[in-house]
Amino acid sequence: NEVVNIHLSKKPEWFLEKINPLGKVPAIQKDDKIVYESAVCCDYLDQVYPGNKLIPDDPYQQARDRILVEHFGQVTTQYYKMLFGPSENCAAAAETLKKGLMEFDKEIQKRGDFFGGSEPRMIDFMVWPWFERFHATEKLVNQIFISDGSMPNLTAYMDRMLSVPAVQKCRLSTENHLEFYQSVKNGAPNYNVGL
Amino acid sequence: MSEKALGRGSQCPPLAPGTLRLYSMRFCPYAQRTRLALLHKNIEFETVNINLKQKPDWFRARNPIGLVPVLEFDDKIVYESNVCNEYLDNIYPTPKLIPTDFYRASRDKMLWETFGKVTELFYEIPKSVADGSLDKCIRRYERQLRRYESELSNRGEYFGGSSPCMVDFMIWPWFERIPVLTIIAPEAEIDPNKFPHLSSWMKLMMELPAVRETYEEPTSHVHFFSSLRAGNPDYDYGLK
Repeated sequence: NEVVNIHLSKKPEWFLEKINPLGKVPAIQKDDKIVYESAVCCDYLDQVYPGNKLIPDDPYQQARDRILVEHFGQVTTQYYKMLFGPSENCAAAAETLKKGLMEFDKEIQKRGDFFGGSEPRMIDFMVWPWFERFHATEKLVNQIFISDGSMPNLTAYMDRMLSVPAVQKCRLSTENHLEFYQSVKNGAPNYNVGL
Repeated sequence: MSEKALGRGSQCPPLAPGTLRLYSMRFCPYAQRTRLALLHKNIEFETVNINLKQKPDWFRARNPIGLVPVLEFDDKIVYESNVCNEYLDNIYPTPKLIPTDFYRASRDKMLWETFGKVTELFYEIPKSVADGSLDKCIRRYERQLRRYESELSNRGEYFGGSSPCMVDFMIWPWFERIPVLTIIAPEAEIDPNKFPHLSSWMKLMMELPAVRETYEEPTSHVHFFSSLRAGNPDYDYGLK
């Protein structure tokens, strides 16, 4: 596969006209087929490349995994409030985010090494990107919500995920994330950090 | 079973083994999506309406997020309207509302996953009347509607072609509520000159049994919405 990175604050016209009128990434394209919305892309890839099936076949387990992703949306909402919302709301957002993460600290104990069980599956890849950014966020907004050792199961999970080859191949470092978010807050997003 | 909304302090009605139950609220557009799927597929189910302002503990135990729709069947619980509807389509595949072709299924999912761009305007348009930015809001509304008008023009009478599919049911509830919007903002009316396909589609949808069964008159929607804004939602409005 090939990757084309998009300048999201100055979107090329061709991206809006031919790929995604909503102007968001991710979007995937093969021949005349275009898919966007991350959850839809993931579903589609799992169906079309079923070699290592990441979404459970059982409809109920599929539904429960999707529900877990929706729960994680409550975490990500607080996350963006902390980063980009008014600074006076930051501490409250961090508190709420921490409460949300506690649910996941409990849930991982029920499921195994990964939310997908003994191996990482789609559910893990759907939530991982924000875990990858937590340390940078703590530094940026000066709020601790995961590094205080209060969620040992999640901390262990994060370590396990860092050893997964797919995660290693596409991750950015905490320093990269910090630099990017700082540039966004300064009003001039640097999409090429690390290149 | 009573249709009245059950709230704090109420008992959870016992659920018989093998019975599919929907936790719902009569005026909720998200719950209506799942009611439409259940009815169109002729699935047997019972309904328990929830007082969403004073949620019973037993409801929060089933969905910690505290929203409807929620499906319960023996030990299985599913919530989030899109998850409920995909689950129902898997378990009760006749008629199939999500295409078996992976790409077509993806294109359909994209249509309802991005419909939030329309639904958010249902809240913003009334606000924009108050703060003088209605014109700008209506332009955004029409731009989003054009995506659906254009898609529908490529597909047929329904988003499913000659018969309705999941997209039709996932977006219908908000089209039903346009008459509430137009009271405050007549500009939000779907103009058949600008949106000929969506206009015809709305009339066709109103002929579907599932749509008729879940339909509430504009006056009912207006009454409920006003009561909600006043802080005392009238969940049982219209019940004898």
